[in-house]
Amino acid sequence: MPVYVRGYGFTDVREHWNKSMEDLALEACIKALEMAGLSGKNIDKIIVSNALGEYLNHKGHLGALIADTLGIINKPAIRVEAASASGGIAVHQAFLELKGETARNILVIGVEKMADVLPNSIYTARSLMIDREYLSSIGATMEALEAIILRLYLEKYKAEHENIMKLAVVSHSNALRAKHAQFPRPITVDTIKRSPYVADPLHFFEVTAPADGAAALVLSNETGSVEIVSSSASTDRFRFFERDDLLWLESVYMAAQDAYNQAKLTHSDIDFVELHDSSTIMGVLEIEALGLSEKGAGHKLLEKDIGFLNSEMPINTFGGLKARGDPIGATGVYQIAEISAQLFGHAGDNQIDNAKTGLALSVGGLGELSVIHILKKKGGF
Amino acid sequence: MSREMVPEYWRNREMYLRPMGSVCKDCGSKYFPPRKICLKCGSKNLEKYELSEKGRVLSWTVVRYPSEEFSKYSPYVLGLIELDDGTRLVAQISDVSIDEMHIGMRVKMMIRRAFEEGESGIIRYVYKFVPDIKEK
Ligand SMILES: [Zn+2]
Repeated sequence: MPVYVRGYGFTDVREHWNKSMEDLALEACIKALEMAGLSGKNIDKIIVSNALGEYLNHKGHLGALIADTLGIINKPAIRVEAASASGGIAVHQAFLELKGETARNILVIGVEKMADVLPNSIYTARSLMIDREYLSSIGATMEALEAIILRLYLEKYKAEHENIMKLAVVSHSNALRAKHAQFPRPITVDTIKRSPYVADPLHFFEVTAPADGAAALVLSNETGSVEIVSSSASTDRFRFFERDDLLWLESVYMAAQDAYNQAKLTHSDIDFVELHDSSTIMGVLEIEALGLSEKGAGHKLLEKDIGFLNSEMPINTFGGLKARGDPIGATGVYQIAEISAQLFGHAGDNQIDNAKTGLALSVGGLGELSVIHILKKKGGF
Repeated sequence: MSREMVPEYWRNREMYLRPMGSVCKDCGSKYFPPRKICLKCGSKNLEKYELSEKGRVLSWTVVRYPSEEFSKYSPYVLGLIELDDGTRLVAQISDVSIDEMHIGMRVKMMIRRAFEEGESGIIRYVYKFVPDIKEK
C-alpha cells in the first residue's frame, strides 16, 4: 500500500521570541491539516520529533503535550529522539506504520525551540549528540569534530577549502527568495573566509545557527499525489574515530543503497537533493556517500557550480540547514515538506523545473544514524 | 544542569586516568573504547590491554566555543590521535602552541586536569597528550 504526503505546513525558521514550542507546533499542524482537508478527528496517531526539549526547554513528554495542544485527545501520541536525525526517523516510523496498515493518517510534527538559551548552552546541547565518556567529557564538541574531519579531508584529498565552502554559497543562494528561510541573503567564499573560526579550520559561516521552527506532515495510505517511495535508516560505529575510513559515511551509504533499491532507481534518477549540511564538510561527505560523486571527489563536484536551483542537480532547494535554518528536531520534517512543495508545484520562486523525484537525507550527529527518504510525484519518473 | 558528577567520574576513573583498550582473544582485533563483543568475529572473549602511550596526530582543531564545562579553558587544542598499537582516540593536546601543531606530530599520553566542577566540586583529571620532544 503506497504512502503519500497528503498535507504539509511549517513556520518561518528564526528566533520566535513570542512563541512557545506548542505555539510553533500548532501553527505548522493547522497548515498541514488544512491542506490535507482533514481535522484532528481523522488523525490516527501523532508522532512528535524533537531532539533537545529536556535540555533547552525543560520540557518532556512531548507526544501527549503536543496532542493536547492540537485538541486531539484519545489517540496514541509518541515522541522520537535521534539527535539531528530525529525528523528523519519520525517520518520513517510513520512510513512503517502506514505500510503495515496500523494507521491510515498520521500527523508527524518536528519542533525545536533553541533561541531561549544562551549561546554556550547551544554548544553543550549539540554535544549531547556525541559520546559522553570518550568525546564530550574530554572537551569535544560537534563543531570541533567536524573541524577535525575537515582538516583530515583537506589533507587526504588535497582539496581546496574554498571548494568545500561553496556548499554554503549554494545554500544561501537557493534561500534568497524562500519566505521561511532563516538567512535569505547571499554569501560569498570571501565572506566565509573572513568569518571567525568556530573550530579551526571550520568557519562560523560553514555551520548552522540556533533557530526555532516547526514543520508538520499529514502522511496517509488513503490518498495523495506525492508518494514516499523509499524510507530507509542505518547506523554506523558511534564514535567516529573507530571507523575504518574516517572520511566515509557508511550509514549514509547503506541507507542510500537500500533506498535506491526500494524505489528501483539509482542516484542518477534523482532530480534534486536535500542534504543534511550541519557543516559544509558533512555536506561534502554526504554527496560522496549518496553516490553523487566518487569517493573523495565531492569537493571537485562543488567546484563545477552544481547545486543551484537552475543547475542539473539542485541541492537544498530552500537553503538547507545552513540558510533555511536548522531547528534540529524539526529539520528532517522540513526537508520532507520542502520536497513535497517542489513535487506539488507549490514552491513559488524556488520551484525547480521538472521536479519529479527528490531525496532527503537526515543525519544524526556525525553519521551515527542516517535516514533517507525518496519522494515521487504520482505518475512521475 | 545540576547533576551529581562524582559517580560518573568514579565509575570511569580507570578510563580517564589509564585508558585501556580491549583485544579479542579469538581474532586479535583491538578496540578503543573497549568492547564486550567483538565487531569482527562476534566473540565475547575479549580482555583489556594497556594502550600504547605514544602515537601521532592524524588531525586537530582549536576549540574556541566549548560546552559549558570547558568554558573557562578555551581556546584549547583537540587532536585525533592514532596510537602506535593502531587504535585511535580524541584528546586534548597540551603544552603546545597552535603554530607548532601539525599533522603527523608525535605525541605521548599524560594525566592532566580536565576541569573543576564549580567552587566546591571535584577536580577531574583526564588523559591528554603532549608533544613527544625526544622523538621529534
Ligand atoms: Zn574477534
